[in-house]
Amino acid sequence: MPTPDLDLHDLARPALGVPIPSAAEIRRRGGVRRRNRLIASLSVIAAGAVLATGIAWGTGQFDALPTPLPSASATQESRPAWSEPPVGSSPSPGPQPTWSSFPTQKELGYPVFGGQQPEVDETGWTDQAKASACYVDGASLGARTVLSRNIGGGGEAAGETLVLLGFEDESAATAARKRIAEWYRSCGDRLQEKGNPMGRSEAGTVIKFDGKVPTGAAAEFHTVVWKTPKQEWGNFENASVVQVGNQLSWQFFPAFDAPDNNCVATGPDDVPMCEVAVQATVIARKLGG
Amino acid sequence: MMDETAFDAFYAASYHKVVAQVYLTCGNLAEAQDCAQEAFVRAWDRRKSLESDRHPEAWVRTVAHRLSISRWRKMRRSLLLGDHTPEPVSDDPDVPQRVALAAALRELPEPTRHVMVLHYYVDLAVSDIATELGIPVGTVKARLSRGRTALAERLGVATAASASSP
Repeated sequence: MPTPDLDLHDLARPALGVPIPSAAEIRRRGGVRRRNRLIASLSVIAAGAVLATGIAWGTGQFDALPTPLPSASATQESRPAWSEPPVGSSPSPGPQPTWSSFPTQKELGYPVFGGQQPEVDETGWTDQAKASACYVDGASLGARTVLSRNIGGGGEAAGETLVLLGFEDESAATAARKRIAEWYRSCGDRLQEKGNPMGRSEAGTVIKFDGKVPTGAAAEFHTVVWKTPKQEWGNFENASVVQVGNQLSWQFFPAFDAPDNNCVATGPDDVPMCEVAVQATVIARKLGG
Repeated sequence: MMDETAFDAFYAASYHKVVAQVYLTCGNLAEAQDCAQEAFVRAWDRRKSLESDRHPEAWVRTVAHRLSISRWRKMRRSLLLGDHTPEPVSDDPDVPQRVALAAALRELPEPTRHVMVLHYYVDLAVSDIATELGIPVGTVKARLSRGRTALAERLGVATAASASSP
């Protein structure tokens, strides 16, 4: 198959002589990783559950956050993350997301291998939807429809969670989007207060879509990292929020796998994971019908 | 579940191939080794699901490739370990032809380079590449064609393969 002019085997020769680490060491590291992943999965679920009861973090700072009214949220946003979509004026509720609004695992760009865990569907603010380390109070978002799907998770794997939210109108969706951004913006500080000295957040990075999307669609990326002194790598959670009219998607990865689960974005790569641009594009298209 | 014996045999048989594939794609031998090791670490972590996969090497290959192009990973490594100094693509300056090919390969867009490596190094058929990457067969053919043409132009030769379709 290769021709003499394209003899990549010869080019790859230096790689064939490198020392090979012992299989036992690879298995040991795999075992550590497996335990860490399980712990991370359980901890973020526990954190979400505790937060849902309103007693987590113990600072009360979220009591002071504005309710998700459009005017309150608008003053809370300190920087123009994106141009505002036009506010709809229809008195009837806009289209609500359904289970068919979810992209498939393949559409999201994940390789599908045999033995992969099945997706798990839930309705409402269940533990699955609350599993984010930065979750505060889903009910306050005021969504009419809350559908969540765990993709690639189950068992010991945390997977990623995609929550689709339908609102009365576009302004309510915009307010909720800003509220979620505030969850992440403050998340690093809250994690520090919980004893993670390296907790820090980066919120509101605009995601540039990787193709055509419905008019007015917008997306942003949030990330949080926290690490105890004893941890080697720490924990990551990444999230993206996509808004199309009166609908939102909130996608978060309690991340051990996700940060490296990249693809190649054809557009500008302005977010830490280029796959986010592709996935946000897919989601925006699905929400737009 | 893949047991230790089966995993060790799989690892021993596949490690260097995966390193080589990543090396051809990213051009950095240390990075290639690092990505391959991490991919096998993940394979052991996920051995339960890996066992039922008919192509565990494809799984490792895909993970290693994604690791190598992960901007997030590079940021994390830079933050925690300090950045690695880029190394030349080829460590054999006595073979100008190889150096030229490596440089030309590195100039290809990453998706094109990835397809070229899978076809001309891993020896995957076009249809297998399409399946592994989840892209249409036509896209694979187009990337191969563009890659061959670009390499021929950069190397100043008409490759034999550039005259034939995949």
